[in-house]
Amino acid sequence: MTTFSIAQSLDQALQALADGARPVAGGTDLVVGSRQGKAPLPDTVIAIDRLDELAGISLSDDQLRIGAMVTHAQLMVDPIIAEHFSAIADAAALVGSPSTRNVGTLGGNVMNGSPAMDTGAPLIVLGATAELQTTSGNRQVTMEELWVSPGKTSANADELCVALNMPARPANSGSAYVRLEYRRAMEIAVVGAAASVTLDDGGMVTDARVALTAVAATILAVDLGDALAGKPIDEASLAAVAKIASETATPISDLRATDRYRRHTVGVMARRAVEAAGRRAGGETIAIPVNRTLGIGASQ
Amino acid sequence: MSQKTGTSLGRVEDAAFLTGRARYIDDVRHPLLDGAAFVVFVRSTMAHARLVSVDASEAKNAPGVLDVVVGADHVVHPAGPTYGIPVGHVFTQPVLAETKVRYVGEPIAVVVAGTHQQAVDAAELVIVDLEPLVPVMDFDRALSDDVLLFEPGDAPQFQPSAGDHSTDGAENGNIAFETSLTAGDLNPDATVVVSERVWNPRQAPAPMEPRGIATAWDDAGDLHVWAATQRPHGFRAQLAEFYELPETNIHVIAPEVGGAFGGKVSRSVEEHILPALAQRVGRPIRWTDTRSEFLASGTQGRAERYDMTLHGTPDGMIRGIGVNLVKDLGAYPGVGTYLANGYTIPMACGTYDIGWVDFSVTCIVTNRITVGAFRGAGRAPYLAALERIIDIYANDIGMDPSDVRRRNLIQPDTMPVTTIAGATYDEADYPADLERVLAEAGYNDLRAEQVERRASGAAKQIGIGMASYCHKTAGGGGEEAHVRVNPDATAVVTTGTTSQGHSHATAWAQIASDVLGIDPANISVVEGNTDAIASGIGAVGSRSLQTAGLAIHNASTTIAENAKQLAAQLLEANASDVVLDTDTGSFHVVGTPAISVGWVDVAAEMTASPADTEGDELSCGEYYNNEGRDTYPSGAAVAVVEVDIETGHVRLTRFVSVDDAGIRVNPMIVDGQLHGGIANGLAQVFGEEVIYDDDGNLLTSNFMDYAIASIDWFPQFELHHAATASSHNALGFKAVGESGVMAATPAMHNAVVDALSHLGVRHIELPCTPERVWQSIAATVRTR
Repeated sequence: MTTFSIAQSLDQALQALADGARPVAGGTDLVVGSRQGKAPLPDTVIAIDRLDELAGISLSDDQLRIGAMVTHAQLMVDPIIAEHFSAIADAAALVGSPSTRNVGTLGGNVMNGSPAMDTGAPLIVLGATAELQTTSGNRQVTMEELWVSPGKTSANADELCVALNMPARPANSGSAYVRLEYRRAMEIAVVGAAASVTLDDGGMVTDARVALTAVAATILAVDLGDALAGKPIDEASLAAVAKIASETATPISDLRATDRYRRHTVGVMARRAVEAAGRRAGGETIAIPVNRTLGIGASQ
Repeated sequence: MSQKTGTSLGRVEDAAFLTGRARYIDDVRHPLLDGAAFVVFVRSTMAHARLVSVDASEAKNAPGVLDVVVGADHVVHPAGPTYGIPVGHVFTQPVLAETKVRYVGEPIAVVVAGTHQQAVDAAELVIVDLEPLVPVMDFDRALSDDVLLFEPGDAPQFQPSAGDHSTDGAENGNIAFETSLTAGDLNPDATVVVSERVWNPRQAPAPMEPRGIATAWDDAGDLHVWAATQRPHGFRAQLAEFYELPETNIHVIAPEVGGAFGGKVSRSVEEHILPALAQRVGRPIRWTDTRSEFLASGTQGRAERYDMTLHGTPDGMIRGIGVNLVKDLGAYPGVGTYLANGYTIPMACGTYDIGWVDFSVTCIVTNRITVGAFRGAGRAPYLAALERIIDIYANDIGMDPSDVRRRNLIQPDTMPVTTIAGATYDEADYPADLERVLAEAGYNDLRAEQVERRASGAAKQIGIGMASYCHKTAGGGGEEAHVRVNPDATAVVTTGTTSQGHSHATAWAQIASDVLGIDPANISVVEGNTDAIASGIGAVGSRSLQTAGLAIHNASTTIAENAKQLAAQLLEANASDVVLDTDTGSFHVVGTPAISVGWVDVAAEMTASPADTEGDELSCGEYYNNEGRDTYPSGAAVAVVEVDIETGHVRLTRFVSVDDAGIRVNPMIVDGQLHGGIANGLAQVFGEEVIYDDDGNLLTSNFMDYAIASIDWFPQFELHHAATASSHNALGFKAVGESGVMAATPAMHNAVVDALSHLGVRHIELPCTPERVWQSIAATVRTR
């Protein structure tokens, strides 16, 4: 038998977690997993979806804070996210269906720890940290530290993810997320890639990051070495990015694709993500999500 | 606005469907079903195994359990030979497994309990001991007879109550049925011989509503069944055989049925056993399967392997077709066996004038679930293979695929025509349909764009594919209809057909309205009830319109003639001078429309003067038999795709078709049928495929893993129509239910290959998944 209660305050939620309850927000993983027989519902469930402390998106001079309860539907249309942190909006717009986007939250997505999650690679390339809180304090954890293995995070059971924080964007920066998919709706990424690019006034790359979806046990950050730094985004540098991404990936074979195909296409996705991020960094507007605008996934 | 044949009258069914008022199996409430118990099946977890033992003792004592039945209980006779095809008795599927299991999901035991949850819990307590056997999944392994699914003596201990049990059938190993046809002469100028193996993978019929049945016995010993079936009368006939009851003691109702696509043609063993269970526990029983249960134990379609050989001249004349078809029937032969003879071989020539055919069919059993009917069954897979080999031939001789088709299509002035494969095609103009679809698609411009795109070296290349089709419909002979005009001038049409979204309630009313002049809104349609009409075949094989449609028309015509006699009495005129104005539904003397009587007057006259009349002139039953004069709807299609050569991803940018469904009763309904059929056919190119692993486990048991068609795959289809009246029936009807499938699969398949032909790609297996497309490109890169 499962006991279900609704937290009226953050303190109440944190205390419930300290007492052994598990949090539920949109329920798109917890409830679906239970119905499919993957994992039974926890004995005690505390709903955190009504907590104002976990809501809202705010940008200060040096930092963006996204409340853990912000939904994918909010992320895909929020003007700050769409303009400055575009990769997150690109990813949020691809998640599930309109109804899952309306109830599914960023915090829930992050703490579910799936290596195929769409918002994960964008958070890594944007340098995000998860803010984990308990009754006695809070700490910031990088995404690489947080995700341990499929479905497993380094957070303690009494820690609640209250927000995702990331540095404000330098001038001439752009980001993008693309994925290979067989269908548009209710789809899991076959592979995906996010990129963040900052350019100097001459169009040379001063900073670039790439992270990959669904090709390892966790979302994978790519060490680009000197593939892009100090170079223009052109055929040669993009080819180098694709090669590094493919070599970094350690994909599996399953019903949806073989490891060989995933290894190849994640390189293609990385290249396309960098290309789109570079165009955005150069001031071009590419409508959210870039998958549909550029016809990369299952776009119609 | 006119509401008669040829107008797109809005569907009278839609309000109920769209507002949730339609009643499906799970919604059926009836006093006989009060207190119904529920069942859960215990299924095989192995594809091929010897059944050592089943221990149900603990389950029988679980809370709420009313009964647990196993194969050895022999509670009901299994089904006999299928559709008159001489399949050996050894291939009979026991209702519950007796000695072996032959597919993952095969029912071994069934638990009956007061609630569904109690049955679920108790089913987990049934202990099944299976001794694994080598699963036969590969076609060549099945053909080699290295492992046999059915060995002599494997036939169920409990035999079918009907049919010929004399042939055991095990002497042919894994081959359940073979047939062949060789006809015509091969012109010696056919110096070009092109061969290719073309697979048509397993596809799952995926109706929104899965299977379901509710059943009860009444105090008089009659059996009542509500079933999600395409064939209530056929279902009744089978139950009569299994339960050794007269058909008149069985009452089958198909309520609204939420789609079928062939998946509800045959009764399944799960449905077959329920009445026996209801009898044993003395309570009504209901069962509706889950999506995964349906995907793992309903019937599936396609599963055919074609070795195609085309013999032609260097300048594009097709002289002969050689076909070696191996058809996977699944573990237990079903309707798939019958289709090879009745539907596949007659389609050997497609729409082409071909002088020689050499066609062999070998039907094998494998450790997968049974292949049954599926939209386009027996025709679509062959036509897809034929259209594919024609494109390969065109490619090999360096001729445009449209020109090859132009040179070989059957000419309209020869029709009706009997092909060397023995099919008699009714009137159509295949060349005109092809020219029209090429023009509507802007074929020459598309080819020019393709040349440019190739020259640019872009990552996204375009491909253009086409196909021409005709297909056999109306099998099964005839259909019965009953029409009655009521005293209040409303009418009721009753038929033995059924609708699973086919819009019969609208279309049948339009056909009757044409003759009677009664507003379709005042004509109700009764279907899916074996008590309402004596016979019926049902909605299978695109056959309802050209059979029941004629019966409705003929019955209505008889009533109209009778009514003129009655009107003549009222108008004090000769009956031969009385006309029925079908725009107003009134009768008058020729040339004197101002003085008229209506249906209410006519009905009153019938009732008032029984001395002069028989009192039932406004009611008529008709059986229409097409006497084998099948109809062949036809058409052509062009598909345009964009292939991302870096990922293999295929995007369908356009689909243009010309379809000739004969005379259309309701063009909107025709378009709806085409939309669904086209999507169904295209889905097979995009990704719909039932996949088993080497151990025989079903990997595609839900809609995340089975790539069910998604609306985002499809652009707005560009539909154009021809409407050539068929001379094979008096109203010129053909059919449309399965037509969309026929050209869709090969047109898009040809387009995908065409997009990559400049890279050296010659053929790609279905479905053309991104990975498979990418692999085919990578393979040509490696060999270059």
